[in-house]
Amino acid sequence: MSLRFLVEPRDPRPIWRQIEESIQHRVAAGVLPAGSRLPSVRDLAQRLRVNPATVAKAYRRLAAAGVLEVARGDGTYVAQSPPRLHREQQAGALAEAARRYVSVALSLGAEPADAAEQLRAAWQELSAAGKEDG
Amino acid sequence: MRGLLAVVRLELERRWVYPALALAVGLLALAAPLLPGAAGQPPDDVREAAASALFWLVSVVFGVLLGASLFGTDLAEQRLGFFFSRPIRGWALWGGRAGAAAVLLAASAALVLLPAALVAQQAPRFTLFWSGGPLGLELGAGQWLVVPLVLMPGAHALRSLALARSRWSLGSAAAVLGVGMAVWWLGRGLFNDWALGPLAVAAGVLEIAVVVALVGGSAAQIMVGRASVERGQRALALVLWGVLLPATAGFAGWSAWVRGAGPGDLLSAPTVMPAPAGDWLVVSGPARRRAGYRPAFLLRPGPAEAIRLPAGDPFLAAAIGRPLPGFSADGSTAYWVRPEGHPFASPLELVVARLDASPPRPRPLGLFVGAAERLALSADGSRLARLASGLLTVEELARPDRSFARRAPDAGPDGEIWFGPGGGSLFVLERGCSPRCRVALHRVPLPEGEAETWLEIQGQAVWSRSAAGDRAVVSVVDPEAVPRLVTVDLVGGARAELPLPDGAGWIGRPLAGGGLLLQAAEEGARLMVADADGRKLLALSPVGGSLRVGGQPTPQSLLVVHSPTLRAGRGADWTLYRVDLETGDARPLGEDLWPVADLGQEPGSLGSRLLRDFSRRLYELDPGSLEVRLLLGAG
Amino acid sequence: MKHPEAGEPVVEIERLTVRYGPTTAVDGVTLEVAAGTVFALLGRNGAGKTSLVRCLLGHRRPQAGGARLFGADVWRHRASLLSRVGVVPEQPDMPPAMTAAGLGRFCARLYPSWDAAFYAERLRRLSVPADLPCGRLSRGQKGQLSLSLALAVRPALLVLDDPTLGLDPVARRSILDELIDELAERHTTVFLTTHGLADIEGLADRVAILTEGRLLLDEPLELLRQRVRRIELRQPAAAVDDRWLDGLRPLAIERHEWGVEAVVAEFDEARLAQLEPALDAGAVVVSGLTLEEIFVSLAGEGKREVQS
Repeated sequence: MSLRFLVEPRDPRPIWRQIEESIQHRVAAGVLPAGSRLPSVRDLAQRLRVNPATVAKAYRRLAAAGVLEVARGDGTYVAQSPPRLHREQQAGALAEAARRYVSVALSLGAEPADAAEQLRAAWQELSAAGKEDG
Repeated sequence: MRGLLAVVRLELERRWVYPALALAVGLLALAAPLLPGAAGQPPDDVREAAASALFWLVSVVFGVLLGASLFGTDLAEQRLGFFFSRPIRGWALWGGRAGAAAVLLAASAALVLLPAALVAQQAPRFTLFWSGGPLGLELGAGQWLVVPLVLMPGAHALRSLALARSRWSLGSAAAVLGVGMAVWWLGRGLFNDWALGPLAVAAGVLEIAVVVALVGGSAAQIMVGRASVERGQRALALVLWGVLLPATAGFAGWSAWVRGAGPGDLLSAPTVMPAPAGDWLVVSGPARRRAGYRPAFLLRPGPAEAIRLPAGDPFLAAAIGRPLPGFSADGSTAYWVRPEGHPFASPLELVVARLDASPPRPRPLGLFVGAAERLALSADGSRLARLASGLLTVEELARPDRSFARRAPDAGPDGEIWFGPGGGSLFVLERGCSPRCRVALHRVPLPEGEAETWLEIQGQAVWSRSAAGDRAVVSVVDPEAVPRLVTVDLVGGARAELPLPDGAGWIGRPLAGGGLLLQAAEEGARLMVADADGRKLLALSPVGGSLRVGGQPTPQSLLVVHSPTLRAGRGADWTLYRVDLETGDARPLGEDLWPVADLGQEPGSLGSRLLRDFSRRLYELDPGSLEVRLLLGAG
Repeated sequence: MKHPEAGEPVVEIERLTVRYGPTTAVDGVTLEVAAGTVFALLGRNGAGKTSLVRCLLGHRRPQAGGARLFGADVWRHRASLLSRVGVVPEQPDMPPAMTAAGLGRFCARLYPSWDAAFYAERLRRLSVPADLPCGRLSRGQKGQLSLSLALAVRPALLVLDDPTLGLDPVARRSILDELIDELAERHTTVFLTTHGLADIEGLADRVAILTEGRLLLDEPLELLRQRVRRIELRQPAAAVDDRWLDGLRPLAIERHEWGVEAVVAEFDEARLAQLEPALDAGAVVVSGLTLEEIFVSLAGEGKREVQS
């Protein structure tokens, strides 16, 4: 299973939050189905090149929120019934991400139509990849 | 301790190639008998000699290499941080490395000697350059220690100095140079004064100071400076200066104190050279608390006027070929030599002083004499003659422009020269025993004219000259073993063979006032006064035992010491007598007192009255009251 | 020896001053690193990082102030303190004639906590030849060996002086992986200096920036990323004056045809929100900065402050 998200250095949010939210979104989107195993803290830290403590913190918070389950000495799994994202939570997150994307598009001088096209393409690619992975 | 041992082990592992190389060099020494020059010599000796030479080569080269790379390489490549980033204390790092280097050096040196020693089946030995023969390891080790104690830390210090190139290293270089020059200058001063004892003391202290400075400095460099070249350099410089500068200042103080000894510091006077007339003398002896240094003085004891003579005890200096000081016959002028410059090849500058001036002022003449030169002052001290290799130079001291030179007969190895009466001629007494013993007296007219030979005698001769310089007596045993006594009139040149009393061997000496003193050559305790023609006038008592003749405190008296035994030296019950030359009466003056000079001093001059006891203290005899007064020496 | 508890200060530097002749390399720096923290000291060449690290390791005695490790003065107790510290220097400084195996034996005699099995396994895994003199290893292998020597100590504190300097990306990546491994397993306290800011973006808990010997800042990386932001105001420059930036501490302001771009040091959402009604919708875009961008902006500001 791969976690194709990157920690975005320009994202002002704390890294643990970026990790936490990415996983939460993936779980909510069904890209990470219930019971699927997450990489170990060390593996993910190495893949993302972040401090393992940061990953551990994100995992801890997700476990506390009921998204993940930690099996002693075995690993970390997506909980059987992870809580869904609240509607407004989802909307807020989407709005923020959209602003970031638009700001990049604006600074690159892209036309709105092109930007929308890129968004659609990315959507298709990622969701397809998620299904393959699953 | 853990750190120290780890560092030592690391160093030994890292530098094992040194002893391995040394062993290879030692094996090389085994092949020495195959060298072309070694044929015909015992192979064991040749191997040992080769191993000895290689031992020194390896010691010095390895000492420098190990020293320069002790910390220098790591400092240069900034690798010392590796060790300071580990739990190793500074002293352990320094001590471990220095200790390991010393062990490696010692092992390497021993391994060079080992193969030759094994082949010869004897304990390893080596030769020191100055030891003359091979030394066992236990004896030579003390000398060898200079390599690990001075050479190795010295190489390290030099490398560090070169590395840092800061103002500290510049300062250190300047300090080392300054200290070196000061030590050389001070050492030269002591050496030229022939103050070898104080020099040895100073050298010993300086050697310890150098070892302390180098070893302590390098330790401080590493322990305080740690991985920093600059800070280490500063610590090294501070210790180097802190030890070497005070040591040098101490040396300077010691040298000044030693050389500042006055006549009052003389404990005794083993060397006394009185002027032929007047009351000056050259005196030298060990000075109080000065490590055996024997300063020399031109001294007039009465008014206690003194001039310090350079070069120390003239008799000791004569042993290394320096001319003795001298006086004019009237005692008005003295000359001596002053070593200048390089201690091992010093040119000797002539210095004269008029002793009738008060105070006498030494005058360097700007003339330099060689070791083989004969020197003489004219009777009035106005001219100075120098004879070397047949070339005679006469210096007019008051009018240098009137000085002149001419050819003259040579004086031979034991000869002497002196001015004839009036200064119009110079006598050259040629004396030597190679191939056969011979005495010849030449008169050289001045400034020019043919030199005449007034006397030439084969055989062993005792030569003596009257205080006034007008007569000489030669006592000789000729090649046919016949004793003869010949007088020479130094004014007219007439010579006469005198009859010998009893036909036995006598030694004759001219007395002041015209007579002769005869002393039996075999039984020394017989003395006789004769007239100028050798006719016996008076036999003097005492008779029997041992007897020595002193000077004439008055024209009519003579000092004699006598012992009833035939033993010489201390404890032989020596009694000093004043003998009346007209009546023959001998009057005892004291026990264990010896006259310093014999005939040849002007009667009444200080030299004719100087006495010395067995502790070499100097006394003066009052010719009137016959009282003896201590002049010089500690009780 | 006990490991320091989380939060306990491991490194304490107090009013540290280092001078080289007339030049002041470190000027009264005070900082503290708590146990379990990854602390990154940033600074350009010549900012005084190396001098500070030298004092921290007791290689050098500061002219004023001091450095403490585990609560004890490091100049005085260097040797005993360093038995719990792994050090990776800027330049690998192993004796070049020694082999990795020989160095391992040397260190085993020095450190009570030396993990010989770990050391050997690590060299094997990273294919660092154990029997080749260090001087003949590649640059990356030397770096790995240096790190292995530091990690095999099982240190309570790792001091890394620009560990990735001069390494190619693969070697750099490998060194960072090793570091992450160590952090994951042992929560070691790390004090590192670096010029490769991208490398530590996700690693450092706390960053400090040193410019011209002084600390420009010392704070949690999370906070820093929160407060330093880029704001783009998409309105022709003439239409707004710069007063809208008041209180945000602008570090740099650039004017473009399309509007104004500013990097601010004290981003404040509430203040920006007050401003927004006056502007066209969507005209304000706020974004974060990479650590590198933050460093450049702040170091530039520091420079200006020092010059004025």
